[in-house]
Amino acid sequence: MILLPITLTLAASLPPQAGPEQDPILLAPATGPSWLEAWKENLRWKLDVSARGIFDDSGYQKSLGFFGLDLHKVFTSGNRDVATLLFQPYMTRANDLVPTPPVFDGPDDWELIWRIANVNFKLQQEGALNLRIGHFELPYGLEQTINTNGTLRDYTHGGNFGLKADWGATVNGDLDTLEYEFAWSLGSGNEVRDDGGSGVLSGRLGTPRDGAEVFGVSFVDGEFQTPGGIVPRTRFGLDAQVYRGPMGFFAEFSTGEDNDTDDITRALGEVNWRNSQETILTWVQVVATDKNRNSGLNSLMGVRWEPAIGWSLSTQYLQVLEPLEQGGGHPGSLTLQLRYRF
Amino acid sequence: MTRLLSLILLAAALCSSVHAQAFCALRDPNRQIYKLFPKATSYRSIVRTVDKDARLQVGTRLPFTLHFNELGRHTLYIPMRGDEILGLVHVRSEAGRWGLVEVAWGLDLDLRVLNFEFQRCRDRQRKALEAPDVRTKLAGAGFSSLRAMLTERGDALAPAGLPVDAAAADLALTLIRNGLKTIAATEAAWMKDLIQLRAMALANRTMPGAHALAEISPLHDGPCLALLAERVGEAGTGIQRASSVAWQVLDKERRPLGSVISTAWKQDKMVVELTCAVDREGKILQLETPGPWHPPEVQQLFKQQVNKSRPDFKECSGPVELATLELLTTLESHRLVESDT
Repeated sequence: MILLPITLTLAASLPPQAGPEQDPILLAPATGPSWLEAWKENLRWKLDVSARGIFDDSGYQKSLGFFGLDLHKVFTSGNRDVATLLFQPYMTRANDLVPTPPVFDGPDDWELIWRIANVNFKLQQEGALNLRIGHFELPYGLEQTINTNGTLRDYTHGGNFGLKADWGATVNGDLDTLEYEFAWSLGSGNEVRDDGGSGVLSGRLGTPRDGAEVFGVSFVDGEFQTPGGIVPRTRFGLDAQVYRGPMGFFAEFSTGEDNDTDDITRALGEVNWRNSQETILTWVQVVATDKNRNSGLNSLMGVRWEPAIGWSLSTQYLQVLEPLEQGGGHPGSLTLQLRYRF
Repeated sequence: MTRLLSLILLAAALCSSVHAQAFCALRDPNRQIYKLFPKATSYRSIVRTVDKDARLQVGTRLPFTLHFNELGRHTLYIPMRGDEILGLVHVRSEAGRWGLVEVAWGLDLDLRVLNFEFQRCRDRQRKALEAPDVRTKLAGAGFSSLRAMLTERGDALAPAGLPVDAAAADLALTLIRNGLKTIAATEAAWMKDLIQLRAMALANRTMPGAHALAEISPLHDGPCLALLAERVGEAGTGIQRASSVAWQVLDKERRPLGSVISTAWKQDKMVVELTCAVDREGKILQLETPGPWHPPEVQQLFKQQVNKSRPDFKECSGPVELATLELLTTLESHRLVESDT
């Protein structure tokens, strides 16, 4: 599955071959681009390489490396766009990654990680109804409108659901004053797997993301496939973004249950600033979590600088002000990331 | 250390906006397209590369040009009503006081402004720029009219720029600069598409049932050149053959309805763009001179050729008649019009 788009994309970068001469009158009604020309039409693609180092205050170091393809293609038929393909497979290397996320087999491992890989079919031309099939981010909270794939800045998908993206299908669209996406997915995360859960329903309804004030409500209800077995989770969420001048003020509130027994409430607040060219972004986040009346509090501050075409340098410092669980890691850690897209 | 920090901050301040944003952030301007063209029933995307050559071209027309971050693959949207082309939508971003301003421009096929919508603008003066009198002032403005709204250096609004107060002047400047770059970049990177779109629009207007174009290539082949030499002479008529493109117009069942030829005509220092629709019998259905900048008397002379066919040019002697005869002969050589010989 991964090889086909890559081969097609690399082949598409080759110059087209001249075809044999034909009678133009005969050629005219039958002419059309070859399959390769058709594939190149409305295609964008980049290779994306990044390295991430994480240093905690005990001196322990771990790192991650990413190498992937970012491909975007619009399919048209006659006078209309009919579908959009987004395809982002990333080979990912973990070094001394402890604690180890379940997507890896161990602290030192290579893994093919699917960021986004889906086709969004236009069912209605005005954009009010589309059908997305494949691997997509769960439509929930701030993450729905501010994509953080491959960036250090992150929101609450990991903490709330243990995964960011999942395999399944969604209906989505833009209405006059609202946008929406509702999904059913497997609950398995990176892999297509069926361990017997009933899947996950999720959705978000919000005001248009390009406004100076953006508000949304969202929910998740379903059974997630985790290494420890099926975990039922429910969440209800509210999110808001308010932009004033160069500043952005974000908030997200979630409440729900894990395993039908653990009450979990999480609140995130963020203040960010960007320069007028948007080459520099800084942010400060506070994330408060309450689990069965045990509370945790983290603060994060970070900066991203894009100094030249394709380059991105980021750093983020995490300070655990109040650990949710005793022995849950070191109180401070610094992460650095260098990213290049070409 | 202070010096190093200063250098980093200076570099950050000088560098243009260069985003390492993944493609998952790309979204079609659905709302803006249908606001700009409420009669549209669909749209299609044309993705092209805005490269360094396009940047240079824009730079020759303006005292400012595209930032390097504005290069790369970009989309031109074509709003349609059935088979009818309604215009163009091009979204470009511009650094504003409070971050990037993204403007969706609705343009006609001659790249004149029909309307605009902010796709993203977090400036408080946005409403001032969305006022009806500003939209009225911009409607119909082409490159020259927009250029006249700025000072010679392009760094401020001209006195007769846009009807906004001083507080909104910065955003108005951003908007006009963005519009000028949009038109210039569209012309630089989508010219071949524009020529074809204009041809299709002309076919739509003149040949009921027109559905598709099939390009005739090569156009000036041996038989065509031989026939042209016989009819209009070796010296040519001022028609720029290297820039000529012709299509057969087809209906939904792929049956030929006629043909369209797009070219340029050069006379002394004047260059006139021409788009000509001809039916199967060889009658000129329409002969347009796209763009508002050609002298009216020349436009009128070409308009007078409409409804003529080749036998009407047997005694022709004027340069416009000769140029028109060359167009008809070119199409006839490919059997796109019926020959009487």
